[in-house]
Amino acid sequence: MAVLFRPTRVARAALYPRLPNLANADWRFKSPADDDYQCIAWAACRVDRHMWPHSDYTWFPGLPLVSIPEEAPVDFFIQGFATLGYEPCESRDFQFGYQKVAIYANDIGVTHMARQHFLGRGWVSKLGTAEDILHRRLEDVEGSMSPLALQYGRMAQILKRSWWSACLSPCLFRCFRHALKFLLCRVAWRALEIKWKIVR
Amino acid sequence: MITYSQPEVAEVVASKDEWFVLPPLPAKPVCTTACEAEVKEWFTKDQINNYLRDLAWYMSHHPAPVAANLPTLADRFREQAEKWQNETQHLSSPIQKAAHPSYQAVLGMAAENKQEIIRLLIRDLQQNRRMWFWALSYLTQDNPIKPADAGKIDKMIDAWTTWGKDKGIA
Repeated sequence: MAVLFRPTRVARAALYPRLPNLANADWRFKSPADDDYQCIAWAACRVDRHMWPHSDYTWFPGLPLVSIPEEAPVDFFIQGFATLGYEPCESRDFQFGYQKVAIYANDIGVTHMARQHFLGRGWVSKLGTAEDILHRRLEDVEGSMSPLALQYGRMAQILKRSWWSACLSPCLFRCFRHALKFLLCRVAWRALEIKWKIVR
Repeated sequence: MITYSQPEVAEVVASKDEWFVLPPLPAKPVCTTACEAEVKEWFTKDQINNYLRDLAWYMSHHPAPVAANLPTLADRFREQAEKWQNETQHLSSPIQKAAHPSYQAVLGMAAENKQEIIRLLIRDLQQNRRMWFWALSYLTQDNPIKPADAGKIDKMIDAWTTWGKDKGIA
């Protein structure tokens, strides 16, 4: 496990060139950087592994995989998350009783996933191996569709499941456990921020 | 009298611009070839001796000045690895990460010394936890990661470290 607490201004300076829409967005950090998981795993409520339809990563059993130079189609992720009870839907708005995830894709396939906040306060994105952030709109982390741009492209699909489906899987318990962990992390982070300001 | 073959002369003539510029026409050429006129313009035995003598003096007074400034393979690897991490840290897609120019540059370095690059990759995996798994699989044509451990970074790093020790690389 490698958790990295870095000053907010440093993390923001690193993210703005990569995700330019964040510069004018309402967002905040939710957790320190952690390379044990990435956005796909986070959308599936896992924080101990990386998920991707490839043999080096965890993926849903029995579903097709891709090799690294090949694109990862959105359909693969829809099929995968269907095993957790998710189904495609049109609306990105918060619906009481439903949990939603969004799939982002660029010209070569899926790039990112975000999960809707449990109470609809926005979307929680794990930025690769960097921090988790809470952003108000899905457009806040959108970017160029070109694979050369190193951005997430655009939102391609929304999936939703009922809270009842979430209760049937261990996901909900993991979500609460990690919400508590992130709360403790934020307290520690705030203390570090104060210390860094004093040191400066 | 020295006699040069035709290919030798052609090779020397072709690389003429890469050599130092010589003073005006030699007084006493030593070459006899079909391209004698062209070679005569810039080769004499005395001149070569003079240049070798100057070169030897320069090298004795400037111990390996050029080689010391050249970045080693490890330096170049570190530079590209840091650049790769900084620019792809926010990405989750292994396809996007592997397509980054720095990742490709590291793969390209394997053409110079494959064993050394594999050793550097495994060491970087241990020290900095940068995810070189696909590069290692590609370069070694092997994959020591058990299916049950796929995606779990600590166990994947352990698997590659053990693999490196078994092969005598790490």
